Amino acid sequence: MIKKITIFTTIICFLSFNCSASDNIKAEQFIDNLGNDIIKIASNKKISIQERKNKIIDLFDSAVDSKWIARFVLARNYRSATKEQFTEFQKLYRDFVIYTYAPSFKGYDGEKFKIKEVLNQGKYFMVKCSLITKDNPDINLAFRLKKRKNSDEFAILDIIAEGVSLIETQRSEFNSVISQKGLDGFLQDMSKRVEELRGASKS
Amino acid sequence: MMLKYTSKLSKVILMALLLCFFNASNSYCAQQNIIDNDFSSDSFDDFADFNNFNLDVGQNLEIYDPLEKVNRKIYKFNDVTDRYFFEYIARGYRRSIPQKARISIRNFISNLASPFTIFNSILQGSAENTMSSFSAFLINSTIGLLGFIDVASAKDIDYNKEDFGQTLASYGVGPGPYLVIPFLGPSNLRDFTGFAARIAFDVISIESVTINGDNLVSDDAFLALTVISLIDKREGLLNMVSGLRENSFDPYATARSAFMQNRNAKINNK
Repeated sequence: MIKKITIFTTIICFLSFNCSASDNIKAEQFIDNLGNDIIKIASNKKISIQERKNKIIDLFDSAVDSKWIARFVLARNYRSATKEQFTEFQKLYRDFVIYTYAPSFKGYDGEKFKIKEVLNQGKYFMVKCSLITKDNPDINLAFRLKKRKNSDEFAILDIIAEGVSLIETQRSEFNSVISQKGLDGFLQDMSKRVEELRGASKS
Repeated sequence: MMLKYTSKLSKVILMALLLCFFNASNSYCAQQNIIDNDFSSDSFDDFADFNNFNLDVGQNLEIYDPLEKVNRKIYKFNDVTDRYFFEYIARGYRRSIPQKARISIRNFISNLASPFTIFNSILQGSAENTMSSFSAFLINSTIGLLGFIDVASAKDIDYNKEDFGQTLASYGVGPGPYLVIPFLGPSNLRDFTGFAARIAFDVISIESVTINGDNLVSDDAFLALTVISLIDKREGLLNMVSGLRENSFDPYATARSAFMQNRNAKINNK
């Protein structure tokens, strides 16, 4: 009986170790592939800038769980928000992030990134990388991922640069504005900003 | 002479410690009441573990900012003086000095600050960082031609920069209230106290290194070094600050959060 229990425990231990180890590898591959895809698109001079932008946006939608993030950054204001307000915010937030950061891919200057380690933190994975620039010191970057529900796919929840989490910073920023102007006031500001960014991106 | 300054320094550090311990106990109590636990009773399966996520990030404590009204005014003042003066100088510096020269200057300044990191690593009881920062200082000061070339990091001798604020944090001192310092920007009571101690450290070390009764580093040279290191610091922040001004809906809140997170990461050597 004891022997059976020992064998059973060993198998369970082995399986769970094996499972988390392979998940770590998958998380690493996910970031590796994503990085390569972005570099490939950003440095592809054969297609127009607009096409490049569209491809980056598609990649963003498939790799980032913007609904989860929208919920996180609203924090306590999510409770008081109506369903319509949240849906509008989610849409605006996605566009805000895309139009704010997409132009930076235009200035791609041969930066490379190196994955240093992958940490398994319960349901989350932290992929730590360093961004190697040509002349400046390396930048510490980390991606926080989770597995999508009922699937083997990963989704990005956060990007942490030099210890500063993007979603934590936005949460602090957005909630400060909401406490001054109310959620509707903030949504108006955001929609105005998205329009401006969209206009600037077309020109 | 040396003794006089040592006793002065120990008084400064003691004052700083007392101030921070008093303040840390207050702010800790205040922070305990404002933990953002709003997701605890959520029924969404997808979001059920928000609390764990927050705790895991370790930065879910709202920032203690009782002086927000005054801080925001100082922030505005700093923003204006920066746009019309400091940023202008930093851009001029970036335009007129080639990048390679700027990197050498940054290496030189950073190497000069190494003894400060070594001193703080000793205070923190971190043998590893003391050794690696000491090795980097020796190598860069000699083979690296007075620090202008960062030979150590090319040879993978990496160390974490340490300051008095981080040392106080390693003794368990909390950040205390968030502060915006005129002309200098974001800080908190603990780190600003550390900054004041740093100035005392610099002044005392410069006064104590003498050759035949004359200071090795003249007052003028010290002033020039301080000015260059401030310009270098501002130049390094040019892209970040303009990104903040362009993209943030509330630059004050964004700077506050980013500053506190970055300090936490440095304290935890992440």
